[in-house]
Order: sequence, then C-alpha cells, then structure tokens
Amino acid sequence: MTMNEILHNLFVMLVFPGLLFSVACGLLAVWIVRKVTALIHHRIGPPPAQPLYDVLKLLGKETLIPEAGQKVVFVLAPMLGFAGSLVLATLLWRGNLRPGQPFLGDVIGAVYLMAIPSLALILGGSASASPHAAIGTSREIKLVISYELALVLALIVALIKGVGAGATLPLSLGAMAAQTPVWSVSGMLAFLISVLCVQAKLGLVPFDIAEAETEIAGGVLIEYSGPLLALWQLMQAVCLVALPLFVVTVFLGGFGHTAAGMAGGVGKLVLVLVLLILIKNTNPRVRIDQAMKFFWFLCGPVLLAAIALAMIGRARGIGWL
Amino acid sequence: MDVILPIWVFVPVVAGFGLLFVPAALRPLHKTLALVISLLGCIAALALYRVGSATWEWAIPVEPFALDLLFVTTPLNRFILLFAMGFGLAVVLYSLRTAAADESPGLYYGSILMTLGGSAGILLSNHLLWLLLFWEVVTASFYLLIVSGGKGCRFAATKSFAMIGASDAAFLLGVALVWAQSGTFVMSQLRVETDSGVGIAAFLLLMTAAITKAGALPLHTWLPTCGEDCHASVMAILPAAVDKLLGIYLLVIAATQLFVLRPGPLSLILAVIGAATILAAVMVAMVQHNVKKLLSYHAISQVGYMILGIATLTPVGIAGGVFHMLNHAIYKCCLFLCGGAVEKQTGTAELDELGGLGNRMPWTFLACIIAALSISGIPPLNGFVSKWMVYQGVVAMGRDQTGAGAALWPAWLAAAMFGSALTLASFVKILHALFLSRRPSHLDHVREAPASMLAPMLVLAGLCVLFGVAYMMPLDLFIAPATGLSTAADSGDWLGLWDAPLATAFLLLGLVVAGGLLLVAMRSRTVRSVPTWSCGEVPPNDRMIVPGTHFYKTVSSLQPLRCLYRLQEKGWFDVYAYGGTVGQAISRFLRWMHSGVLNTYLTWVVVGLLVVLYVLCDIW
Repeated sequence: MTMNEILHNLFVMLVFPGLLFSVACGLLAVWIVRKVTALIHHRIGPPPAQPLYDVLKLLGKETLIPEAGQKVVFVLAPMLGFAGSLVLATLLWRGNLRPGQPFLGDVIGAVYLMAIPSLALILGGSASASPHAAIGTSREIKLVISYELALVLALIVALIKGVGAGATLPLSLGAMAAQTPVWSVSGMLAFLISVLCVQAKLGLVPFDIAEAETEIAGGVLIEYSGPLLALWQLMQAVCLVALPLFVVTVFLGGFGHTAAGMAGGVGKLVLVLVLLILIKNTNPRVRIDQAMKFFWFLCGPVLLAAIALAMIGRARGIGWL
Repeated sequence: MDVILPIWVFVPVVAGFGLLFVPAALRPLHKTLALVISLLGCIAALALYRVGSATWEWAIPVEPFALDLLFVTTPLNRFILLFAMGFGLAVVLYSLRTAAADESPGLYYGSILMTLGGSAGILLSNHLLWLLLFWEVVTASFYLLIVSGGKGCRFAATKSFAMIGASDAAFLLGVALVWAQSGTFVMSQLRVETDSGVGIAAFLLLMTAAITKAGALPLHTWLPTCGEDCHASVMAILPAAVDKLLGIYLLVIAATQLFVLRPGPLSLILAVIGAATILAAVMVAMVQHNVKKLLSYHAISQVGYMILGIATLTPVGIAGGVFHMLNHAIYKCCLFLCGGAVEKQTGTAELDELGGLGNRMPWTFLACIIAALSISGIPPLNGFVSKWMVYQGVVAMGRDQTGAGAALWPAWLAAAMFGSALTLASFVKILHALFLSRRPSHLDHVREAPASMLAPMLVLAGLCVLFGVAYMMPLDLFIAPATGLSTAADSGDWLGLWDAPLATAFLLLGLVVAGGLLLVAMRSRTVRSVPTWSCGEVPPNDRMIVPGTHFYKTVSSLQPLRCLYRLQEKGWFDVYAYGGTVGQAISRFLRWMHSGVLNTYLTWVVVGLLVVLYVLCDIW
C-alpha cells in the first residue's frame, strides 16, 4: 500500500464518509427524529444542535463503573459498537457514492457488520452485572434472531432480482444499488418488511424491548453513564443513518453519482427515516414474544411468498412480480 | 524423504497400541512419548509441506485385487495433515495438566497416538481399502479414547461406536461397489460416473460414512451424547477437529475426485442435508444447559456449512466448505478447550452454576470470546470469511446451474445466514453464563488455568484472528491449490469482495478514536466504581444473578417449536434409538426361534437345505 493510498484511506475513515461525516449525519438524523416526533405531538421540538449538546454534556460527566461487573468488557463494548457502526457507515456510503469502484466489502459483509452494534450492546449489558441489564441482553439477542430471519429473506428477494444481471461482482453494493427491486410486488413487500427490521435493529418503538425504560429501566444501558453513554448515543446516531442507507441501497436503487441521483438519494433516505418515525410514534411497545412471532410467523411467510413471486418473475421474465 | 510417509503412519499407531498396555504407574512415560511423537508428527508435516509432493508404495499383489500400500501427498491432504497433527500436539499439551488422563493414561495417550497415525493413514492413502482400514483404526481409537474417561462414558462410547461402526459398514459396501464399477481401488485412477444406479449407490454409501464421521443430520446423535459425558479434551481432538477434517476430506474427494458429480439429485441431497443440519442443530443448541453439550450441537450445525459449500459444486463454494472445515476445527477445538478449562477450574460445566469468570480467568475468556465470535461469523474473524465464501457459492449455484438444487438456492442461503444469527445467539448465552453476568459467591476463589492449558487455546484463538484478517494467506497456501479456486478477484470465481485487512484497520482506527475520546473525557472527571443499581434494595449477590439458561425460553415455548423441542427431548429424532428398537426386535425374533425344541431346529434345517438346493442346483 503506497503512502497515497494510506492517506486516502485515513481520509475516508476519519473525515468523509467516515467519522466526521457519519457522526454529523447521524446527529442530524437524531434531530430530525426528535423534531418530527415533536411535530406529531404538537410540540415545538429541540434546535438542530441539541443532539450534539447532549453528547458533549455527557462527555463532561463522571464515569460510573459497576464494581461487580466485567470492567474491561464494560468499557470496551461501547468502543467496539461505535467502531463497528463507523465501518458499516463508511462501507455503505462509499458503495453508494462510487458504485463503479468496489471498496471494502459487499452486501453480505454489510449485513454481518450490522451485527456488531447489537453484539456490542449485548456484551456491554451482560458485563454490567445488573439483573435489569441481563434481561435486556436476553431481549436484545432474541430480537436479533427475530428480525434477522426477515432481513435475510428480504435481502434474498433483492438478490433474486439482481444477481445474474451480468455485473462482474454481483454482490457488491454498487451492483445492488444499480437495480430498484421496490418497483415490483415482491420487492415492495421485502422493502416494507426490511424497514420494520431496521426499526427493530435501531431499537425504536415498538421494538425498544431491550431498553424498555418503564419496565427494566433502560435494560442493556442501565449501568452506563457519562462518556460511555455518549459513545452509545453516537453509535445509535451513526446507525440511524447507516441502516436506512442499507435499505435505500438494496431496495430503492441507492444514490448514483449524478447530482440528481444525489438529491434523489437524500430524498429516499429521508423517506425511510420518516417511515421509521411514523411507525415509532403510532405504536406501543410490543412484548418480546410478540415481536418474535411477528417476524417469524407473519413476516417470514409473507417474505417466502415474495421470494416465490420473485423466482416466478425471474423464470418467466415478468418484471413486476 | 518419501520413506517418512509410512514411518509417520505406522510409528504412532504402533507406539499408541503399545502404550495401551503400559501400566498407569509409568505416567511420565505416557506423557513424554505422546508429546514427543505428536511433536515429531508436526515437524514432519511442516517438512513435508516444504518439500512438496512425496509418494511411497509397497506392492502386495493378491489376485484379483491389487492390495498395494500406496501413500501419496496431494495439496489437499498435505494441509489437512498439517492441521491434524497440530491439533494432536495442542491437545496432548493441554492434557498434561488436566485430569482427563488420570484414570487410565495408557488408554488416553495411546488412543490419541493411534488416532494421529490413523488419520495420517487415511489422508495419505491412495488405495480405498487401506483408507478404509485406517478409517477403522480411527473409529476404534475413538472408542478407546472415550472409554478412557471411566465408567460414566460407557454409554457414549457404545453409542458412537455403534453409529460410526454402522456407517463404516456402509463405507465398506460403497468401496465394494466402486470396485465392481471400475475394477480398481487406486483412488487417483478412479472417476466413477454417477449416472448409473451402482455409481449413485456407491456415492451415497461413501457420503453416509463421511457425514456420520463429520456428524451431520440425521446421523449426528452420537456427538451430543459424547459431549455430555466425555472430557473436553477428548471432544476437542476428535469430534471437534480431527473427525471433521477426516469426514469432510472424504466427502470432498468423493465429490470432486472419486466420482463425477454433476448438479442434479445428488447435489440436491447434499444441499438438503447441509441446510437442515445447520438449522436443526443450532435450534437445539440454543436451549442446552451444559457447555459441552451446547458446543457439541454446534459441532454438528457447522458441518452443515461445509456440506452446503461442497454441494454447490462451484469453485468458491467448495473452497469455502473446505476453508470452513479448517476454521471450524480451529475455533471449535479452542472452544472445547476453554470449556474444559472452566470445568477444571470450577468443577462444573453447567451454565446455571457459573458466571462472572471474565476477570478470574481473563486469558481463557479472551480465547473463548475470539473463538465464539469467529464461529458466529463476526467480521473480521475467520468464521465470517468461510461462511461468506459458502454464500457466494450458493448464489453462484443459483445463477449458473439448472435443476432443483439450484432453483432452491434461496432456501439454502436463508438457512445458512439465519443459522449464523442463531449461532451468535447461543454463543451470547455461553459468554453471558460463563464469563459475564455476575459471579456466584462460591466462585470467588477460582483461578486462571495453568499455562500449559492456556497456550494451545491462545494459539488457536490467534489463528482465528490471523485466518480472518489475512484470509488470502491460508487461501493461497492451503485451500486454493487443493480445490482449484482462483484467488484473483477478477477471475469470475468470486461474486463479492471483502477487504479484510482494510476493514480491520478501519475497525481498529474506530476503536482508537473512541478510546481517545473516552480517555480525554474520563481524565477530565472522576471514574468511580459503584455498586449495581438494584431499585434501592440490596439483595444478596446470588439473588441478583440472571442465568443465561433462561434466555431462550421464549423460543422454546413458541407453539410449533414447542412440540418439536418436546419430541427432540424424547429422542424422536435419534436414529440410534430406532436402530436400538429394530435390533431388539430382531433379537426377540431370534430368541423366539431358539426355543430349544429339536423339531423346530430340524424343520429350519430342512427348509434351509431346500432353499440352498433350489438356488444352487435349480432342481425344479
């Protein structure tokens, strides 16, 4: 690797579209969520910089570490989650902004990188030696296995639509973004369910089961405070953009490198975000077994039907299926 | 150099056999001999790796068969051999300080050596009958190895011996069919077509032997029984590592070398077995309460990925399957060793009674978490890479092939990727129940395992990281030459990309940034250790523990799954139980016939005579 490449990669990771850009976008998205929620509630809502103030405020607080916990894991977990979400965001942005140049990983890599933030939450919660956190941990991992089935099946619908189109690396994000599966019956079903999966992955209501303030007082995050909690919030902010971006890439045709494509991409991203916010504000929290049944026994069969439709469509050359 | 091949096979077998009869009082002799021979085996494997190809033969003409003893190295067997010997050495080293060999060291170390020699024989043989013979040596030494654990292991030993032995009979029959079809036992000359009934039957029989050894559905049930009863080091060497290497080796050479396998019903069968194994075993693994039993079910589940990779019959899929075999052997061996270390230091392997050991056994924890994340396929570790290759194989199969197996590729992909999430779930449970959570008061004085146990675990964990971050290295060195995969990104074999070094660098950079941020923030204010918040009440420590065994009650009580779990617990899916029922029925029938009445016997003799006359002389 030459010096130039090293500098380029450092820039990609630390400035654009990595650390600075992703965090800025993420905090902006957090603000959008809070603002739109406030509008739904007929409130005014916070100023745009409020999420940043919150994080800075937390960074200035003292750090409390549970004495019976596994202290090293307790401190490392938010760091791991934050780092994982940054890699995921960088991968997805690059795949969208320069679809012609395969970089870092493909769509399977992205799906697996998405597991790192949840895994970090689980490890952190489990290391805090709190019964509330242990229950949160158990709920979080059950939520992971619930939505993962639906997410995988939805991804397969997109793969059926896309693979075989003649691209050199058909699994790369650029190749995935080159198609728009949402303009078909199966693709639309897969898109809608994948939005629900993102909802669950982000831990937004109605799937905020692992944190559930009113039952288990924050669950996995109960023992976190100060700078460590700030890191969790940054991770969640980065994911708040990265996960919708994944859906945009796989189902809605991504960004593309023209100016119109960029504007369209931002529009798609905001559309997914608004969908998430609307679901968040119009539903009560479900129990973990309800979530599990919903994803496995409702979304699962629907997606199986979608897969069947997509296969038929592909075999017979019927695009709208 | 070539003469090293027979020495390498026969010295461990003979030495191991001798050790069986050396009295237990001479314990240092057992340990020294086992250590020296396994070390020499490793060195020989490395030397052979550098030399390249070697052949050795000893002609034994017995008309009409040629029973020549032929040993030959190929790119595939060379690297498998290297790792088999490596696992042998790791486990011998680990066993020096464990109680595994205390009861009968002769049996324990003797059968380990015989296993190593037998495996070398299987891998090097270029003659099917000799391969079968060494296959039996490994089966027999596995039996002895389990028996060395004492009385508690008898049932496990019998069950595994019965199941593997029965599959060996299938192997023998398969070999006979291969001979009938092609007239030779020499493996390098075999290319049996699978378009005739005999060819298909021969392949299925060989496949049965391979998947029983590797432990795939539906012939897997010996594995969890062993896992529950045996010592962790026994599990670490055979079912976790060497059995996988041997079983998948046989499947790979059967699918790519001995038989001409084309996309069709046979690859469909393999894919069904692979996908079903992944899902069914991991669902059962999730609800287990014993570390070793849980790990055993994962040793089954992971075989599914290997079989699925081979079933795709694409270069990247087969290479992925073989790579997964290697990766699985590494991390599963490591996990069993970690489980064994915890069991030795605490005295139990029950998840309910453990917890919070992370800061008591930090090195074991480190090795265990790396191996656990590897098996769950968390990037950038090695398990992710080989799973990713298998997925590409499945997608390529759907894109390029025709037939039922290819048309069902979404099902295979869904099973494999969802199985991976379930794997993560059950390892979260292990990590929570062993190392995180809260420590029960009676474990406050647990100490870290001795260095001789830690060293093999940490080396294996290091390999997990190395083979994940620099995965091109094992691919270039071992996998690609053995499977014919092209490692160039634009060769058309690859469907996606994964720049593991760059991803790792980014991950580390992210960690450094986050660490820097934390450091600055934490230095400006105090860091305090505080008691866990418990709603203002202060309950005793042991009442605040939420054991990991409760995690998946939600899953096992969901309705359709609940019935399946209940049937599974009753042993409805255990082939061995059915085999037992059939066997008892036969023996009851025989007992009924052997009534001791002379007239009955005479009747049978006359009937038999008539049948023989009819067949032989055609008297009517």
